[in-house]
Amino acid sequence: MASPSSPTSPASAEGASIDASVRLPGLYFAAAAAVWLVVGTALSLIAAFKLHSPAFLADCEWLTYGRVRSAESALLIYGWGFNAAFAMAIWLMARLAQAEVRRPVTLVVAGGFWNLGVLVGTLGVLGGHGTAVEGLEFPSYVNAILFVSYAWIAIWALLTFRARRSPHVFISQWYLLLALLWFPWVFSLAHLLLVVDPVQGVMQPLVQTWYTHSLGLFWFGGIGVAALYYLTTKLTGRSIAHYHLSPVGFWLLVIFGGWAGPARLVGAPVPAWVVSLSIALSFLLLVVLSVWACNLVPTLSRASAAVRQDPAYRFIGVSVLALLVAQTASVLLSLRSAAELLQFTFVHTALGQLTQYGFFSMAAFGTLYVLVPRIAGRSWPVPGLVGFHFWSSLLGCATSVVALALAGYRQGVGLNRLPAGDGAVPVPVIEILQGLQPYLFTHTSALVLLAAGHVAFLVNLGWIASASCSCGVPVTPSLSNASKVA
Amino acid sequence: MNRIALLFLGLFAALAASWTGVILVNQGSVGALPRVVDANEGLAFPQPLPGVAQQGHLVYQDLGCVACHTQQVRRAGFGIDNKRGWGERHSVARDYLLEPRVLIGTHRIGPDLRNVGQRKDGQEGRDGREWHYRHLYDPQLTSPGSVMPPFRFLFETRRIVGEPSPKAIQALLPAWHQPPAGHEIVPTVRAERLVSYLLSLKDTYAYPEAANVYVAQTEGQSGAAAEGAHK
Repeated sequence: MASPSSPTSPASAEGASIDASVRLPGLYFAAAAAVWLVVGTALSLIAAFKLHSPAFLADCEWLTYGRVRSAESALLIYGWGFNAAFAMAIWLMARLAQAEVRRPVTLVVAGGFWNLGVLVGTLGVLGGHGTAVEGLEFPSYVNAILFVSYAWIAIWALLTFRARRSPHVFISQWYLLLALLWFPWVFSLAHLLLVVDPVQGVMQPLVQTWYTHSLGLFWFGGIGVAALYYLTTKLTGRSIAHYHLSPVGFWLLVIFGGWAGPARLVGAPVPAWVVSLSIALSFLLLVVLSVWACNLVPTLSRASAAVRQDPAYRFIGVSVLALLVAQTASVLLSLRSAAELLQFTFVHTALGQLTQYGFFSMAAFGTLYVLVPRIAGRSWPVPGLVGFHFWSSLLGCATSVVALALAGYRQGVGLNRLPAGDGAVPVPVIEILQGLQPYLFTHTSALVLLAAGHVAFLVNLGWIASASCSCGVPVTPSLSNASKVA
Repeated sequence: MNRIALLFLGLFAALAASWTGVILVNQGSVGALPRVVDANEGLAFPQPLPGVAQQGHLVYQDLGCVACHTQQVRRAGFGIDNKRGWGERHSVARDYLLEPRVLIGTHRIGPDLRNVGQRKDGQEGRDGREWHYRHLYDPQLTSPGSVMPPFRFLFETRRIVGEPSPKAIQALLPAWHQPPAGHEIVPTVRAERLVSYLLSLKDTYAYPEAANVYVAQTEGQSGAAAEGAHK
C-alpha cells in the first residue's frame, strides 16, 4: 500500500466535490485507455515479431504487416493516447479551475461514441479500409464520429474552465487550452484536405506532416506538459522554479511550433524553401525546451527523499527527461546532413517511441497513478504492480529506443553510404535488414516487457475501478502536500 | 496570465499563420502545378494511370505497403538512391500530380518502389509480371533472406474445371509450393491489379525541373561525374 502521506495515497485529500464530479468520466477514460493500451501493445508485438519472422501469421490478411502496423499506430494514438489525455485534461481542468464537472455522465456518453469510433476504425484498418495516411489511418467514415465526440468532450472541459473559481489562470491551463482548441482545427482541416477532397500531388505530404507534427506537439505535448507542470508542484510541494519564464516558452511554442512539421520532408519533392524555413524555425523550439528544463528540472530535483520513492514522481521524472531528449533529437535529426543518413530508418521509429511512450505515456501513467486513487477514493489494491509497471515501462522503453536507434544508424549507413573501396556497389537492402535482426529481436523482447507492465496496470486499474463502482460513493481524497499549483 | 481573450486570439493567430505559411502559400504554387504539354509527342505529362493500375493503387493502399516502401527517389548527392538504380532521375513534384493518394512513405524496410515497373521490365515474362507474382506468393523465391511477408492470400488454389487457366502460376513455383493434383494456383483480381500498379510505376519523362538541380560534389568526384550520376 502507498503510505498515507504519499501523494498517490487517498489519505491526502482536498477538493472532495471536484474529484467526486470527475469520478465517473475519469474512471471510464482511464479504463478505456488501459484496455486500448494492452490491445495496441499486442498489435505492436505482432508487427515487431513479423520483422524477424515474416511468415508469422502471414496467411491471415487482416494481420498482414502493413495493416497491423497502421492499426497499432492509430490505436495507440486514438485509443490509448486520447482516452488517457481526456482523463488527464478533465481532471486537471477541474482541479485548476476549482470547479466541479457538471453532468459528468454526458462525458461518458461522448467517450462511448469516441471508443466506438476507435473500435470501428481499428477493425476497418485491419479489414483493408484504412487510408494509409499517417496519423489519419482510420477509414474516412470514422473521423466524423471522432470529431463529434471530441467536440463534445472538449466543450465540457471548456465549460469547466469557464466556471472556474480560481482568479488565476495557471500555465498548465494555458497548455490545456492550447491542446483543446488546436486539435479540432488541425484534425478537421487534415481530414478535409487528405481524405474527403485530397489536395493535389505533394501538397498531401505537406498537409500530413503539418497535421502529425501538430498532433504530437500541441495535442499530446500540450496535455503532457500541462500534467508535468501540475504534478511537479503537487508532488514536490514546491512552486515552479523560474515560473516567470513559462509564458515565454508557451508563446514561442505556439508561434513557431506549427511551422516545424515539414522539416521531416528533407529531400522530398516539395518546395525546398518550406523545408528550410521549417528546419530553421524548429531550432527556436530549443528555447522552449530550455524553458521547460529551467522550470521542471530544478523543481523536481528539490523533492524530498520520501517523494522520490513515489511511483508517480518517478514516472513524471522519466517523462521530463524523455521530453527534453526527444525534442532535442527531433530538432537535430531535421538537419540535412542527419536526414541524408537517417531519414527513412528505424532512428525515426526510436524517436517516435521516445516521444509517444517515453514522454507522453510516462506523463499519463504518472497522472493516472495520482488521479485514479483520488477519484476512486481508495488506494491501489496491489502496490507491487505499480512498481513492476514502472520498472517494466522504464526498462522496456529504454531498451526499445536504444535498440531501434542502433538499428536505424546501421540501416542508414547501409542504405545511404557506399562501402569503402574503388568501384564499390551499394549493400543490398536484404543484407542490411539481415544485419539488423539482433536489434529488432531486442526490440521485440522490450515490447514483451512493456506488455507485461501494461497488463499489470490494467489489472490494478480494473480492480480499483470495480471496487469503486461496487462500493458506492467514495471518501474523496486529494493532494495535500502541494503548496501551490502550477 | 489572466487575459483569456488575448490567449484565445494568440492561439488562433498562430494557427492561422502556420496554416497560411505551410499550406495556403504552397497550395498557390506547387498545389496548382499544371501538367507539362510535350508538343513533340503531342501528350501531356504525367500521363494518367490505366484503370486497372488505379485499382491496384487501392490494393497497395489497403495492404499498407507504404509501411515498408517509399516512393520518392532522392537527388544525386543526397543519399545514393541513384547508385542503387532506384530511378534514372530524382522525383519531382509533377510526378505525383494525378495520384489520388500520394504515398511517398517514411520508411525503407524494403527498397524504394517509385520506378519498380521500370526495374522489373523484361524480367521473367514480357513485363516482369511473373516476377511479381512469384515475389508476392513467396518473397524467398525471388529475394532470399527478405523480411517481406508472403501474400498468398492474393492467390487462389482451386480445382481445375475444364481447361486450365492461362493465368495459372504453379509452373513458376518450386515443388514445395505445388497444389494438389488437379488443382491450380491463380492470382486473384486484386493480385492482378496490384501487379499492374507496380508495373506502372516508372518516372521516365524528363521534366525541365528534374534537370535543374545543384548536385553537391563529394570528395574525389568531378562536376562532370556528378552530373552524369544525376542523369
